[in-house]
Amino acid sequence: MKRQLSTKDWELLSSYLDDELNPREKARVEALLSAQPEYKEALNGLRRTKMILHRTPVRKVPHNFTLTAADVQPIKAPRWLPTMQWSSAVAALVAVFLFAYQLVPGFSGALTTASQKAADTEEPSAELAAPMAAAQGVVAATPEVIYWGGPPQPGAIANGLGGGGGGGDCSNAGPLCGRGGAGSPPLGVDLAPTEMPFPQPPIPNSLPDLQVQPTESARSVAERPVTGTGPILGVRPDEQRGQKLAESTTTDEATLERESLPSEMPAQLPERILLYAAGALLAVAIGLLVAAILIKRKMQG
Amino acid sequence: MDETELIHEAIQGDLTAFNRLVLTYQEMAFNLAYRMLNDDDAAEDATQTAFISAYKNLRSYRGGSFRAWVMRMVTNTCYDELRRRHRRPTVPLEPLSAEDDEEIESPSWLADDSASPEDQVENKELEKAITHCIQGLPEDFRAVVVMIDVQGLDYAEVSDATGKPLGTIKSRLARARLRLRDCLSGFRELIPSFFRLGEEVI
Repeated sequence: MKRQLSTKDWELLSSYLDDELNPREKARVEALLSAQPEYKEALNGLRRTKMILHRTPVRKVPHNFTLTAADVQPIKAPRWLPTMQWSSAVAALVAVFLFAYQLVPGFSGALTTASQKAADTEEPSAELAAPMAAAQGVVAATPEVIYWGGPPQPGAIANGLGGGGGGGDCSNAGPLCGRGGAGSPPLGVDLAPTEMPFPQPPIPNSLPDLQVQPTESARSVAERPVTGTGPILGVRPDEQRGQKLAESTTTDEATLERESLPSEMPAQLPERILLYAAGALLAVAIGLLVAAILIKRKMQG
Repeated sequence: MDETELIHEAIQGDLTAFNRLVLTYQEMAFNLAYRMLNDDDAAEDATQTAFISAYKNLRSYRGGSFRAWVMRMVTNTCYDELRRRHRRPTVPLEPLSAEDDEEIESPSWLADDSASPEDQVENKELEKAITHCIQGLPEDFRAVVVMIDVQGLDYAEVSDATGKPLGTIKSRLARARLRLRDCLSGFRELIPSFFRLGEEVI
């Protein structure tokens, strides 16, 4: 039965053929060759293969491959290349920074706090600007007062008396009917306090014993004169419930809507721009990296 | 001027000295490239590129066999070309059958129909058979067997040229020879009778 030669056996025979074995390996192979005929057969097969390969005709070179000065002249790098050397890295760093600003809450929060502090320090200057404007003769508009619901009734706390609500049955009502507490009247309408067109429902006094005594600080706040131009939410007298007293008619609905916009909007816009900028910078960084690799390859080739 | 002096002059920037080295090794370099790439034009390009690369990198030559160092340049250039071919495969090695557009797997297409003197035919047939079998080898095996069995470099030189340890060279050579033996046995009629596989060598 013929013995199957292992890969190691073939390696030994191949090296033996080229006389690349050390004396110990050589003696071992020679012992196998004399004892095992399949080793001898395998060695002969390798020897014939080597002889055939050695007879491979040599191909003549089509031309001389000697070099000219033009062949080995170094390729001149474009002038702008050195300036672009670090642009990819810088763009990538800025992109990473901007992404971190967006994604890492602590990082973003720290920056926001810092910017908030900076904004706080600027506020006094805005307060100083008001007297200056007054000194220049600018007459501030009388603040608009909007009353929600009726005056606090003794014992009316927790009775569910919220805002003015809707106007109820408006079949015989005037132009202000159904506008709720904060609605604005159409232009040209006389907004003078008028008699309510419907009878005021009696307010049940479910907690007669509960009396709210205004504190000293609350009284001092109530007696404080109103200044500024912004809307003031307050409690109106009984005859004015459900109406808007617009002593100053310069404020329209658009102004109110603008003022009621969420304060986050201006902050969100720059953040979105930053996100887009980060994405664009990352794309630029990748583009520059690819360009740098291609130019380098071209110059080496 | 001997080879060492020529190398020294070439490192100093003497292109003439380098070109004398090119003339010495260009045939070996071109044949290695041809056996690796199996295409005359590609072998030509690879040889030229390898010599340009050798001149530009002469300072990295640290002594030893300059022939092995040049072959290393050629081998690396051929590997680059083979990688490029793998990325963008183009034409199959075997021709397509006119009938069904399928590759002809039988080696019969290797036979040359043109009439020629017997020895020329023998050589041509042998070369085609060898080329076919060498191309069937993995690239790493191919480089080793061509450098040792076709071009006569020793194991140490091939180890330098490929950057692989001696044990790897021995292993690759043995496996390449075994595969070539099996492949060439399919071309018995193309191989001169003296070399026919399975017959005893006297």
